[in-house]
Amino acid sequence: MRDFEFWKMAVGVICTLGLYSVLYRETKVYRFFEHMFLGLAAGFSLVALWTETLKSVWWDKMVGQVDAEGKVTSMGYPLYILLLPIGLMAYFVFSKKSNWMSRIPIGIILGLWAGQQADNWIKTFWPQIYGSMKPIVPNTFDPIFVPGGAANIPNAVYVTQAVNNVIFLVTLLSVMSYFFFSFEIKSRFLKGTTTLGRWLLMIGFGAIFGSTVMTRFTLLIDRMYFVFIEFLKTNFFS
Amino acid sequence: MMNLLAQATAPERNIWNATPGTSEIWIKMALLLVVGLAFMIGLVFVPTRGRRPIVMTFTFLAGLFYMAQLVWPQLPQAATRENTQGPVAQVSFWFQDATAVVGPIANILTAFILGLGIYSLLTIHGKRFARLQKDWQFSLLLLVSLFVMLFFGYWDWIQGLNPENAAKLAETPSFAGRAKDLLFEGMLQVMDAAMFSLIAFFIFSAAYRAFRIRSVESTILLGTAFIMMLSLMGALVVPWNNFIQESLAKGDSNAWVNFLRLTDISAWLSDNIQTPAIRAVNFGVGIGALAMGLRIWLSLERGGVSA
Amino acid sequence: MSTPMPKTSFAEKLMAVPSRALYLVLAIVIIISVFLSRPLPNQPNPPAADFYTALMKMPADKVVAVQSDFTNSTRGESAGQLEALTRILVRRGIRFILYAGADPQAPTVATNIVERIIKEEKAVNPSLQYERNVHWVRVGNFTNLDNTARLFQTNFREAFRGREDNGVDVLGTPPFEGINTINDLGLYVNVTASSTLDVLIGRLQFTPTTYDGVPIRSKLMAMVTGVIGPEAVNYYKAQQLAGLVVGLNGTVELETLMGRGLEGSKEAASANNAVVIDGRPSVAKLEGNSVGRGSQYYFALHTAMGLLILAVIVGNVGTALQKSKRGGKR
Repeated sequence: MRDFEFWKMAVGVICTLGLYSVLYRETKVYRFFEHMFLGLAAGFSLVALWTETLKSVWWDKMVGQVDAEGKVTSMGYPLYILLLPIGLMAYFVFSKKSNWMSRIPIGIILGLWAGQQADNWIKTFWPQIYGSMKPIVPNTFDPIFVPGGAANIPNAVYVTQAVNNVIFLVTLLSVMSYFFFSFEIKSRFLKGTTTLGRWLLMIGFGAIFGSTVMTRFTLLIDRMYFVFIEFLKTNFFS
Repeated sequence: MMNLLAQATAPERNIWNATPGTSEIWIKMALLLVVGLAFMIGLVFVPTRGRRPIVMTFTFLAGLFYMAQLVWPQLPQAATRENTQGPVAQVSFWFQDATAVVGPIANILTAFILGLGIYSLLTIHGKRFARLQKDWQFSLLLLVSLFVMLFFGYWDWIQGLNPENAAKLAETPSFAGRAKDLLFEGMLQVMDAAMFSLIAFFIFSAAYRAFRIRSVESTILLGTAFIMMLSLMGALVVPWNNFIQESLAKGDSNAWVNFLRLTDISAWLSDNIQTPAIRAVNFGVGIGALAMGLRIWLSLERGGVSA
Repeated sequence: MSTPMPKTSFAEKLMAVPSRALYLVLAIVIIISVFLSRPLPNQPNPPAADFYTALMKMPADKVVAVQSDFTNSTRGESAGQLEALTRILVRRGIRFILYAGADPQAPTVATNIVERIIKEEKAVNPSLQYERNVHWVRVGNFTNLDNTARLFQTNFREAFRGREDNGVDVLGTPPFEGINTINDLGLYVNVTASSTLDVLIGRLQFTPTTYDGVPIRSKLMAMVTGVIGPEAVNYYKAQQLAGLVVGLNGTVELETLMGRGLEGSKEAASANNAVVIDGRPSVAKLEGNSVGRGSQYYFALHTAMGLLILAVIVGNVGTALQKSKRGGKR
């Protein structure tokens, strides 16, 4: 007799194969599982929006809380009810006449986001700007390469290190110039730096591609492992 | 207003709050809801020219809250209400208290707005089913899946609200718990993973058909991608590195030939080219976000929230 | 009368391989690989070594905040990362606070993984004491991370007021004891597959500290998917992250470090087969089985990557042959 975990997994395998049928072509089988997926996802979101957020952050704050012995642990703040009509205004987006009202709650959220951007910029980019200011003049010539372990003198700038730092700065500045001078430019120097920037950027994109491929393949390996090892091998061949 | 925003630190009785479970709190809530709904309905009748200033005001005040904090003098790290006095410090403390209220308000409003997508899904599929349009069966399936998940999701959650009950259910799950587990873990999560794993097939096919050496750029991209992928394959990296270290460098960790280790090549590319290239892109994106933030805050964005 | 079909060349055949055939080849290679899966060597890199060092050097009485933002759409990479992290925390007896700052599904996904790993650890070590609401607590989801992260920075504790885990007020649980500001935390780990890390980088600032003589430049650490890995590496290089685990390879690196420990020189490692990274502090291995999802998938990743490289080469050869044929005709 198979247990609940087996049947749960079996249903999962059927769902996986159903969705994979799209690789052959978009059939009714695929659309069946696709719609079921969307329905379940939307249903769970509606559960989670209340249980994970609104219940504790909104409702409990609004009506207050008492413990098991009836002692008040937090007072209720009825003003929180005003967030309901403000939130409901978002749903006017479907109204032809009053859709502008949906911009009030969205405007509040965007306004809060916008107000943080200056501080956010400083916290994000200042350490990066600071970290990009690297020494480009070596202060020691022996050895040329950066030695490992205890031989590495603190604060020493070795020749290869200085060269690498120059490459770092050239890359940073030329890629920036590629982005900032995206309009037509006449200066031969700027044209050269933007072309170099484009080439160096491709190295960055190459890394992104390699890394992305790793993720995409891993997600597929995970599904194959689920179907063939966790379900098939474990339940039928071990 | 001060008391309302200071609720986080001082939850005693004041004009803004009420004792839980009393009729007072329910009456206050009902009255405020009526006021809120009246305000909302009133907005429906606002003439066209009055709409933009209303949206602008809400957006500006929301943004001002954080912009003001940025320019207002910061409290020293060791500052407490007891050891730091004066109006400037008081305002700083008020900002701290108010952030504890604004944060949850943003979470609540975002949660309400997130419901918009589900409302839209319900409307589209509800209409398609009600009018028996093409593929109405799939719409029905979507709606049934949604409500089944809703039903078992809440049933299971309600059962777990009592801490003693929750402990018991962790040992032996109830019927609702099992049903929710089947729907969430057995179906939704599996399909979520399967849906996104499909991309691997498309990326593989696209790489076969389109990843070509056509120009300097594509050659550089392809070369770096290959090095990156090879450096992620430990079964190649470890023997290659060992060969360089032991056979070519003769165990000398300072020999220049060590640079030919795959990990060293990929680390060099990452440190000196990939990182500055991505950083430069991020600088551009960051400046764009900053400009966009200012334009949204001041309602200067064409087609923005106050358009 | 039928006209004879023009003979298709090898290059044309190569270029005309149907997509379904390519899909099938990839699927077959991966299916065979998961059956043939075997342990493969791995050379951990400094970001993963820093991640492991910080977690292992942190005093066990400190609390870790785990912000797990992924859903099962990236289960292959993110689940293995969270599993490895949970194993370290549980085996070291470190308390942690679990929450999400993005998708409503994320807290449940993370909770299921954490509960499963604790169960597995208890099966191996029946005397293990590691309980929900005592050693770890599940807080839930924050739908608006932009504002919540600001609140974390201003008043970390206040962000959790009113939150409950199975009917228990989270602020009254042991993981929240003595936690008022983000600097009271031992470490802050973000397991993510999206831009939530960018939000945290732009809002959280930690005071640098030292654990067992090892300087910790920021208490923020990340476990990310390969897709956002290169961007996260930028943060790591700018010292905005104390440690970083990227993708499946990062998970394997972490599992390797858990299984072998870390030494700063070859001589020191000769006795215990530890991983060697020049100049690094010595970090003990983690007792117990360290083979996890990362190591299980690593073999298949090799074959899949190899297949992709082969496919790109064949595609380019096909194009070159076609071009030379056209050139010849001309």
